[in-house]
Amino acid sequence: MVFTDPIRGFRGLNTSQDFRHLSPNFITFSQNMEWLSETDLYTRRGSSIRKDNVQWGSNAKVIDGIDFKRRVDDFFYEIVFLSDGRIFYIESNNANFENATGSHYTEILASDDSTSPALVNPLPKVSFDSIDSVLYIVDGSSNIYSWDTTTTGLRLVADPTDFVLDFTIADGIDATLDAVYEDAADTSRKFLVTVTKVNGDGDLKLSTRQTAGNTRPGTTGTLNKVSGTGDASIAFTGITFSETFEEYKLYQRRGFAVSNEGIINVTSSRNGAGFNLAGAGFLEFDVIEGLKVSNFLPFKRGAIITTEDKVTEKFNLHTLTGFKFFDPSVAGTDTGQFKAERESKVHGIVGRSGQEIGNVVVGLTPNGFISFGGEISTEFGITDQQTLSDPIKDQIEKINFNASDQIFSVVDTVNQRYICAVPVFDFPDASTLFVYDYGKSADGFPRWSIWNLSYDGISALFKIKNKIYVADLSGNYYELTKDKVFTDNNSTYASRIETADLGGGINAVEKQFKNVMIDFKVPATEQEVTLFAKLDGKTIRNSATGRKLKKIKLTPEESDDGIISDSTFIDNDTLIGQSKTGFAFVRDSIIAGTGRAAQLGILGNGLGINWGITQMMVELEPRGKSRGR
Amino acid sequence: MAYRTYTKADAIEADTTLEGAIKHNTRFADIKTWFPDSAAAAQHQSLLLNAALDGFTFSHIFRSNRVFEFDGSAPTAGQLMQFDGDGTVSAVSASLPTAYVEQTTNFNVSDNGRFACDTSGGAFNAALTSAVTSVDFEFILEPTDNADFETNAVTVTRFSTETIANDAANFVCDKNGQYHFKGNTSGNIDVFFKPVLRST
Repeated sequence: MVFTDPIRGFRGLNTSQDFRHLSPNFITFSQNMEWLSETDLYTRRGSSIRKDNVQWGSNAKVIDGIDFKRRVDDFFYEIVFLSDGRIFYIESNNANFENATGSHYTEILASDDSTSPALVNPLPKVSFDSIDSVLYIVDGSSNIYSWDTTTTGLRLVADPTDFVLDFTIADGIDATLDAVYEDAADTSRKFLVTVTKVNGDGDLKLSTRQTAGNTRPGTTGTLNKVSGTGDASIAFTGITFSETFEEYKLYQRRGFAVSNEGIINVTSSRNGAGFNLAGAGFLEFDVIEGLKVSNFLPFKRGAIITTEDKVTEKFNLHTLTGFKFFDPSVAGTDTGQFKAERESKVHGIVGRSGQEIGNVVVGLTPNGFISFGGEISTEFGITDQQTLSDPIKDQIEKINFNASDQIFSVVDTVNQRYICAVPVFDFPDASTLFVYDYGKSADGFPRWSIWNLSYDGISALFKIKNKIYVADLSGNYYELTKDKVFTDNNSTYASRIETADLGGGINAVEKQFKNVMIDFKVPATEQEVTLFAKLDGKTIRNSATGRKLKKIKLTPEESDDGIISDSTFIDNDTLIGQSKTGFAFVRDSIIAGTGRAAQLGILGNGLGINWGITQMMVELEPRGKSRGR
Repeated sequence: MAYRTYTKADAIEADTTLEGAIKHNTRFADIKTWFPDSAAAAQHQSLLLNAALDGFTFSHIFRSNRVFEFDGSAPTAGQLMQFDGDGTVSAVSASLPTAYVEQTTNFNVSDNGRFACDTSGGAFNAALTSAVTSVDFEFILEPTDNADFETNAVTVTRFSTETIANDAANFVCDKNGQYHFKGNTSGNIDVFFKPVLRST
């Protein structure tokens, strides 16, 4: 197929050689469209409110969400994290689960003092994973939190490496289960104490609330019981909370807490909080000064850790490999069996754009969207990198990498799409979705579409029960792809496609679309779309009408037996013909004018307008004085 | 949902079974009535359509034994219908009208305005006024399909001491896309941007 033909007389350009299907290279820009198959494009389905902001107000944004399911339950918890640190959940078997408004969610409070918000440092993101029926959360502070659903609060896991606290309750003093004590020397420091033995020295489980960078020198002191009477002597051992945890993920049956200081703390097997137990430990990895951990992606036999600094726009990628870990109770194990290394020969993945799709990892780099194929090798790291976004490289240039912490992604496994939200130009909030229909790209041509939602911005993308949710900047979140809905919560969005540059290269030659043939999908109800032409990137206007656009009415044809036939109607009797075979013809209708290259496009704009095409043929001819050159 | 189109004669006949639902002197061209699958047959619902059958110039919506009567004067273009909760409906203004006003030279922005700016002839200004800086307000500004803001921008000029995007300076719209300005009495005007071209 030839798109830019400088020789005399432009060729007719089909979407494919046999003119049966759309070629992905033919359509270089599609906005708010989705690929129904490898050959059909259709208006994307719209979004619909899942939960409004009535319960938590419009000042907080939803920044993430998860469906947390314990194996002992036959329901799941839909949990959403807010930008101000509050966490809310609703059980899927709650009678009000489907209600989009009202105050039916329950807030998870900090367990030691029942305060809200439970998280201290939630912006710009939280990271979480679940192990053994417990959800673990980190928020960029020195805290690691856990929630087991059986308590009303969010517990704190002690610092993985440094926290040691000997605690003794004197004989004769009964400590109540889950009593709260405070440090007599610093009453802002509170401790939740779970007692397993009373009237004697107890084996105690402690959780603490600390702020980032807080330190506590080795000392002895007294804990006073906050409610009721009683006290206990304590011995602190040089507590230093210096690490800030950005990521917590389950990998190889262990909890991995990754800090900005270049430490990967590893729990013992199948114990999300067991950082100090036998078999636990830590790995160091090479974080360049100034960078922070942005993502941790466990997959198959390896994991990827990304670090970045949005100010200098540095993005690094590290691999974590190995499947065993030093265990002093098992002879023959070795610390070298986990390895974390910085990869220098591949691009770093930006923000939270990395996702695992089948056998590859897809992510955004400053050079565009890439995929890492194959497996991560302990010996060679990542070796197979391919660029996926060449068809949309003009759009990649608009991405604001300076706001990389507002770049996030999700994989829609039901519709087989990778969706990445990005901010553009110098705006700080994500506003645009790059959608890769990987399930419709098996022939090697990546199919992309740009989605713009009707909301002012996007604060989160997340998946709950295989549905994709998108949050706006006002605390509402929406189901992204709702069947048979073509509005964003009743607001209009435009959908359009544009062809590649045609007849490019010679400015002197006037471009004219001689014949255009389009096979539209038969609509369920009457729809109207607009055919337009562009010259050198700008839509052509007619001085008389102000526009040079053709309206095309798409009508379902109902035959006598009530079955809709494969046919569409065109309602312009002068310039646009009508075909009985289901094609829209445009003959001698659009003179693009003199310029480098011309494009043809189709636009659907209006509430609920939905349309699609299967094939398209454009015949471009030279015209005017320069015709014979 | 079962669906059937009724004629005027059908509707008049319906009046005999739905007391008071439609007055005999009601003038209409068509009536559409449907029965929700989950509701009792008696709870059918109807809309009265205008003569062209392309809009709701109706004066009543009724659901079996309930009639929503329209309050006040006739709706104007762009208004939405609001259920008042007392069995009546009213016409209310939409938060943002859908119609764009095309601009080719300096102009003053207005609350809830949508402005399509044709800068193909040169850059110009969109001026804030006291009318839009003293209350909650919003407006949308976009290039027309033949304009290029990167070549000729539109500058939103301040009225007084307000800030735009937390900056005490005029705001230059130099990217091709939709700018959504939202301000209030706090004195700052938030700016949201989407790189979507209008192309209509």
